[in-house]
Amino acid sequence: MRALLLAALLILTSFTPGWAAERGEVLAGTCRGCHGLKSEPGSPIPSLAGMNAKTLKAALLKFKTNKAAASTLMGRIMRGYTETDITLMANALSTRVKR
Amino acid sequence: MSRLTRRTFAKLSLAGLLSGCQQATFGTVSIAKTKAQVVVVGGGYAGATAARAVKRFDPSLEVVLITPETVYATGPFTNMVLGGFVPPTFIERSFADLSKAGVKVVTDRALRLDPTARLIRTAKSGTFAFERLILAPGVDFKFDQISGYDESDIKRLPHAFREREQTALLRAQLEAMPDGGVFMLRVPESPSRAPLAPYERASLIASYFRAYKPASKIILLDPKESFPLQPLFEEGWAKNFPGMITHLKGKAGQVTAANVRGKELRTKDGTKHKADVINLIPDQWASSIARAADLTGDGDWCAVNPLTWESTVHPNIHVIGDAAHTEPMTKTATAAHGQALACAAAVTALLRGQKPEAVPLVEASFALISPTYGISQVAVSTLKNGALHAVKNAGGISPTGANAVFRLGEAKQARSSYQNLCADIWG
Repeated sequence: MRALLLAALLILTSFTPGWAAERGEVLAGTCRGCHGLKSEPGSPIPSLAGMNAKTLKAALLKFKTNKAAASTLMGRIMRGYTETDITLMANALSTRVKR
Repeated sequence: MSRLTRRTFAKLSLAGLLSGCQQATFGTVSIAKTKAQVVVVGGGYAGATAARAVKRFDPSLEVVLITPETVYATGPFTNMVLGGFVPPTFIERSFADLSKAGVKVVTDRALRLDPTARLIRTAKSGTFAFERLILAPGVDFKFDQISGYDESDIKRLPHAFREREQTALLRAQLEAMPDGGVFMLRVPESPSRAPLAPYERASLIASYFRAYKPASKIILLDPKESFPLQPLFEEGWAKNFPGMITHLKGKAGQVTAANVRGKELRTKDGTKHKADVINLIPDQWASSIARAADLTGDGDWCAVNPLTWESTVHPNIHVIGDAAHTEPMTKTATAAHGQALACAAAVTALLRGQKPEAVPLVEASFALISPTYGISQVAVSTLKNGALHAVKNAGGISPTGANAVFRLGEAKQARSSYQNLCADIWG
């Protein structure tokens, strides 16, 4: 049920007219400069396929706060973003990834 | 292109408008006028990303992408082609998927921009009117900086820094070079397209020499005293090809004259350097279409408002990618991609009468020292008081002193990120 609610909320937010949606799209778009959205087993850069907004946000925040188990460059990138933008980014990404 | 004054050009365009049938003939110049809300010039990382993104942000907009060739060869991984590690087709992209996404792709050369009348004229496909233009034409070369060298010499001393034919030419020269030969690379002045590329190029050609022509030498002639990722490159050169690369910097590396037939370059300190193969990468500035429309003002690059990427010279003209003044962002693929996304969002918002907001942009650049030894740099830029600034505490280069497994990982990431980015842009 919670997952359903979350999914519904995501669909709603992804269709928010105006700048918030586009801001999320731009933020998420820059991730695609390196990461694929389709499942790629064994890819050296983790694919974002199958991730929901919550998992993504938690992972990105771990990089930002240096709590990730391993980071080559994600820590250095995520420290440049606010938590609000990380939320928008995770939401927008989760609507694009293949499940 | 015939030399039309701006006024004549505007009149011609007006004739096209007034004729009603959208077709007018003036002498030998045929003007077919097509109206699109957003026209994008250039099908590279910046232009192709922007065209797709505008269409995605607002599918009701008509988006035209004008790009000179049916196949685009990416700058990234050109050095892998030069080293013989991937075939030339590895870096070739087509526009079929962009057409599928609803972008009208016009294969033609954009010749002239009239920013006031909001018209862009092409070589064969007539004139396009636009509400907003996204200009991503890339760089042109300055062929008048070195005495004894001009544009007619690019077959003898290829730059291999843009066209596919140039890459093939330099590769052929490297293959024909005997073992024990000297390969010399002239590094351009900053800012230039792909600032890591000359150093990656020296590295990957050294990798090729190590395997096939191990007695050969490489000379880098570099007008700069320092360069990006220098500790990582220098560590990589010492580990992988000790003694093969000589890097002359500053006055000792600043090329002032060329003897093209004699394959010799002279540097500012008076020294003459002879080589078997010379890769002369000229200095760069914004492409002529931007300069001819005054978008560069007195400088070499187009000044823009980094919130919307709109030109500070002409309204409704947005400039992204290598032709724009983008510091502290550098002229790299991921920078162009991010700028294009931000610009597309801004253009869509402005066309709807909304106000765009600043979004942080990330730039991630990998370079290969060998196909199995990678290094990287990241940076995050954000808008502060109307200007782009690098975010403190973010960004930086990958560590020196890392082991072979780490470097192999970065090399694999370089390839993977390249393919993912290309898939995002060209499909």
